[in-house]
Amino acid sequence: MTADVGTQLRKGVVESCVLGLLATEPMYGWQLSETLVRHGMIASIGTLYPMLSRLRAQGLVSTYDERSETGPVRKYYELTASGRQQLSDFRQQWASFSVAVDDLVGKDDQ
Amino acid sequence: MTEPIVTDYLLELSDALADVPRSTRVEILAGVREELEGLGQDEAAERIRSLGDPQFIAASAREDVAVPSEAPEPQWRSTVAALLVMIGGVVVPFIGWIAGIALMWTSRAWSTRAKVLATVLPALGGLQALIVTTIASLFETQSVDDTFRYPGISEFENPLVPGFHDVIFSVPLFGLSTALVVGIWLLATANKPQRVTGSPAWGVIPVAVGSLVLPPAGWIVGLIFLWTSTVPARTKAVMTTVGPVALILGVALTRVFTEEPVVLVATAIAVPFLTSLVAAILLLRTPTAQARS
Repeated sequence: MTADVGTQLRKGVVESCVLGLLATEPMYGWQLSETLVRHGMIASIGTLYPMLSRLRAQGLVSTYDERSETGPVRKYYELTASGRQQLSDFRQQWASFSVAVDDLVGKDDQ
Repeated sequence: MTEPIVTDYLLELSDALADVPRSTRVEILAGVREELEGLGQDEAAERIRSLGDPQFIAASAREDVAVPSEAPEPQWRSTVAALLVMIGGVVVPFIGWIAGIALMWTSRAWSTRAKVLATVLPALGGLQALIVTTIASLFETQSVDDTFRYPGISEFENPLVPGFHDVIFSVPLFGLSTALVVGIWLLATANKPQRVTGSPAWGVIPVAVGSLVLPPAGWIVGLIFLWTSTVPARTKAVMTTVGPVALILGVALTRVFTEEPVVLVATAIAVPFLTSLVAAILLLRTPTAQARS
């Protein structure tokens, strides 16, 4: 059951987390996947790409190719103007939202 | 140079993703490939470990693609494209067929492999007709030579051997009938999931078999399978060169002993086939041997 709750929660916020990561710097697939997996936000790289193409279809992120020093050409993802807007909307709502949830669910404190 | 463990991992991942929508599958494979390429054996092994089991990656991809990232394509598009490819060339010679091919390439109903095949097959049908009639005319020359012994008869035509006008007719006819078959095949395979690219045998075997069944068109079709598959670049290079080299050497060597056209044609077919087959078997054995060690 706990895993289920976690999955449901992540679904709502993981895309905003991607936008948040990309706000600091443009990143390529592996960087994003590694960071998100480490934070327990996605299961594997398999979850990342469908999400990235969705974000791109919505015009929130765009891509460009850049050759890495080790050789292969990497596809980098960066925020678009509307991606930035979406992120700042989320940040505003998240603060009050998390406070509201904390108040409502209470704490395990016995 | 890509490490064998990387190639094996990508093949496994490609297999596991077979039933994931094509655009997602291509993106995941490209993303993983760009990360593993150019790494040494140890680094690649480490990174593969952190990427995780291909089956697990595929499972999480399947879970997440419930929301389609592309608008579905109307059914009529692929049907019109296939029909134009099929009979467009008969209705408006050449232009009708070109229109069909153009429409097919802008459609998402087929894989790139299927599109390349559909585009070159009619031309190959024509080429096949040209080569077969040319080879047949070799035999005709032979029979003309024989008649020199009889004075008064300088030319002799065997009605069973195709002549020049047969070439004129048979080349477009072969092209048109191939287009017909290709169109039917496009109709049947539109929007069907493709699951052939994974296994290396699917890239290598068609080259060998094609060179035997329908040389040279079958061989060229085999090459398309090879180059659109995920087998390593070295395998692609070897399988492409081995046939022509065997053909040239085989025919050159045979001509030392005999000029008999029947023997030469038989050599031209058998030697490249056998060489390709041996190369295919050897190349298919190598990666599995490395994976076990």
